[in-house]
Amino acid sequence: PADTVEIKLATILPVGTSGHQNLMEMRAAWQKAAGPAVKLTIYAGMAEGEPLLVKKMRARQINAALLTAVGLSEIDRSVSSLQLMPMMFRDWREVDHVREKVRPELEARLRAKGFEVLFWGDAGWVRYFSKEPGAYPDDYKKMKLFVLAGVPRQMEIMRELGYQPVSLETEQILPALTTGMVSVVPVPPFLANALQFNRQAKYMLDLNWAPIVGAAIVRSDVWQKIPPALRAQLQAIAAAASEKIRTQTRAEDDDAIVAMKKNGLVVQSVTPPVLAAWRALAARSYPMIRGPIVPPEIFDRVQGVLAEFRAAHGGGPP
Amino acid sequence: MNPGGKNSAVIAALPTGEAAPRRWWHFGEDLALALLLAIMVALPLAEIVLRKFSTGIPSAPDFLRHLTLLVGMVGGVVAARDGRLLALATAPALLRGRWKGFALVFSTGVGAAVTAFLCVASLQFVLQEREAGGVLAYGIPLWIVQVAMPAGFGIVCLRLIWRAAETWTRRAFSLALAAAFILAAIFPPVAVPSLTAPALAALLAATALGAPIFVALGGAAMILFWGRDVPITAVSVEHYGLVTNPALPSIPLFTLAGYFMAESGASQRLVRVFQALVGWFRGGPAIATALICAFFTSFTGGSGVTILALGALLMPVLIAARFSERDALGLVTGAGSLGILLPPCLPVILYAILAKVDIKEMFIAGLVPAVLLIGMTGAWGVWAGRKATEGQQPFNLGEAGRALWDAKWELMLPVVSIVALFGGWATPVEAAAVTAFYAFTVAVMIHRELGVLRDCPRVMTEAGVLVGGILLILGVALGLTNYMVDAQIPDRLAEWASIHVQSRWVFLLGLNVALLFVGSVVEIYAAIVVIVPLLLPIGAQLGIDPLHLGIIFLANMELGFLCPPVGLNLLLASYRLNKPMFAVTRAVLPLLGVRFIGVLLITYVPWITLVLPHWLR
Ligand code: NA
Ligand code: NA
Repeated sequence: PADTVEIKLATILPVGTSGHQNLMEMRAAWQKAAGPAVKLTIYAGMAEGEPLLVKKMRARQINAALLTAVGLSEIDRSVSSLQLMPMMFRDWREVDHVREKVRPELEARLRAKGFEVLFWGDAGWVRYFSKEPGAYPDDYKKMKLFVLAGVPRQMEIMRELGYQPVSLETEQILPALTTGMVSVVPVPPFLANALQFNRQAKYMLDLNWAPIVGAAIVRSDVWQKIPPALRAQLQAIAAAASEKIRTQTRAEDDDAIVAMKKNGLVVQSVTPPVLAAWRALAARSYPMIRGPIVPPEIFDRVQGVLAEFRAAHGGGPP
Repeated sequence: MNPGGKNSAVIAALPTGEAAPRRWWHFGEDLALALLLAIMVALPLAEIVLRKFSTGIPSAPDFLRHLTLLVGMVGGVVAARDGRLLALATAPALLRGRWKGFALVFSTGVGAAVTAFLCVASLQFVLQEREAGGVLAYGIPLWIVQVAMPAGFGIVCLRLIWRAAETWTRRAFSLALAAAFILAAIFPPVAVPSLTAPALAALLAATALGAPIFVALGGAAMILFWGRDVPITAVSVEHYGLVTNPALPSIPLFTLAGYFMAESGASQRLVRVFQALVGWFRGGPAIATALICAFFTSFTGGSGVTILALGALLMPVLIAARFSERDALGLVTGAGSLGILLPPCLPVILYAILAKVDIKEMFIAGLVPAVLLIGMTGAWGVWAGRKATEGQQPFNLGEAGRALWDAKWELMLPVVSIVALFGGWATPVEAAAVTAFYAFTVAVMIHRELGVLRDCPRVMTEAGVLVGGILLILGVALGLTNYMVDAQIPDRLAEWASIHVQSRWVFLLGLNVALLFVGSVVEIYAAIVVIVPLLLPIGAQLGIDPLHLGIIFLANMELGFLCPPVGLNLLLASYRLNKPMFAVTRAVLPLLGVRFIGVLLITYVPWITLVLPHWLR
């Protein structure tokens, strides 16, 4: 019908992953609720990178996407506060709490740029996978470290912290590990498992470096075309789907570690002095991140919320 | 020394008109193109060196990606100026007088309309990007570089009309026709969906009458998006996404390396080496022909440079060895497309980028199939030359040694690029820059056959024009691919295949036949960009290894170059060796049959492709 609102949602998640499966279930539930009023099409496995997906949304070729903070911060940098600050968060409890607190602000900022958040999600903790064993930051400073291309500021920060960063694209990681061009890659376990980095990098440091956080967003002008009552209904379905996606991806990350262990991955646990050394290193990076990468007001807000949370729940001093 | 003559006419194998008179700004354009390429070589080299001291250039990859965009657009502008945008059809060459004039006016009118829309689409893209406020590096806004897209398409559009005719009347006709098409698109007289079919028909007619390939593909993409009510900016986003793909700078860099070799005396030295090594035994010159063509194509890509550079050198060698003229012609034409599977050939890299497989594994997978095809071609040559026993030079160790010694620097080229690629200190793009710099050093500093000021700007401009032509095609071809993704055609094809194609063997046979046709009529890079994304899901569903699928695809493309009626190598051989198409086609038929058997072997015996990569894993 002519008055059908067509939502074209793209994601880099490959077809057949549980995330894609959940999106398809959400699509079925939406169809049941909206009938012919809304048509959701899901384009999975869009491997050309998140910044290009954002450009496609701006060009109205697609009008929705499931993105991590890398893509979302192309729209508004504030979202990087949930992902691009190493060791700011210690566990999912902290991530969930802070996200709920800063959500209205982040959503308002994205709305001001013309995008509506359908739901928030996450995809595991970035951990260090390396060819040689290591524990302290100094062990890793001797190795060449992978940094995703396209974020020059990130390169400079890693360099100032004393690393030897090499800027590469995701698909260059495995060959670069093979030839020794890089020897340590900070990635979430599900990705290391999916792209078989563990074939080359057999050591994983059991340290929550940074969470991968994301959201499904839709162009506001398209979303507004849906009657408000129906919108609320669809949003509720999306929230339920997001809950399921979050539980599943967190479980999948653990499964990935188990699977890689079977293939010879060595998980290196972290002792208190090691943890303290890493926290000191991360703290050195914050002044470089606050401002150039994360807007200062958001940075301070996240730190404030975290301090309150730890005071109330006994998370220990920062 | 310039053995190939003006072999860099490769992109304009069949130029569409006389060369324009040179103006001062033409030199400026040429110089800009050469300088951009020079920076593309220098930047990755600097990065390799600086990284050792743990400083490096943090934004080097981003600059390089956008330099590719600039080289592509400036190269396209220069190609349009000289009437060297690659076209599919040669129909205008067959037409005479008034009909020829009509064909030019019509194809130009359509071409100019399409290019004008590409200009508008990319302008919208730049405005959108400017509002988003992206930064390249060091505070340079991205849109300043992206503006090259609308500017480039704008100039190409004007130049298409300018070159449509010598007279202002005919130019006015082209312009009026373009304006009519544009108005019809902006103020559609009837519902848009019912207009897409006639618009596509007009585009097809213009393509048949000589419109450039990028017009055909870009026009089709925009018309189809228009019919689906998607803004044509989508095509520009894809264009930008492709030409700024991080792995893509390899294409201009390896092309440049190929041009330095082609324009120096390298071809002659290489012919002498293979002649001295294997030319002495019966049928030896045939094997030499196959080897040297494969060697040369491996670093010039699948654009036909080989035939243009080597065809006129090898024909006399074969005829002197008592090959019949027909067999010699068949062998040179047929061997001219060998080597596409060998490192560091560009189509392999492009497939690897699209299929998300490791570039090195793709090259390793291609080794045995490449040797098989070269061997079969050489064997056919030996058989064809079985009567050619007289007049052979005996093997001369001294001559072989001297020839090898003279050509040592050229022979080292694949070693240099392979060591750079596998050595662990360079990314694939940096390896391409090392290769280009090496080829430059050999031609300019060691052999001194090219002068830095006398020849290099010209050679680099030629390479830039070829790259510009290719990138225009690739960029808009991805727009067409993306239309298909938007319309979910790959999913539907995969679904259809899952119901109707139970056996992978049936699928592969259909694929062989279809690709043979595609390879003969579609430019290889465009074919990779448009068709590979359609095949990948079906291949995955049928359990075909993406490495194997890629080698099947590329081997078929290699064969398509020889396929009548319009295989590229047939056209180029006819053009370069001054033989009628009919004669070239007849001469290549037996070898075509032999090579088809080779492709079938590669298709149905996956072991040939997968043995090396699996063994090395
Ligand atoms: Na080439
Ligand atoms: Na070409």
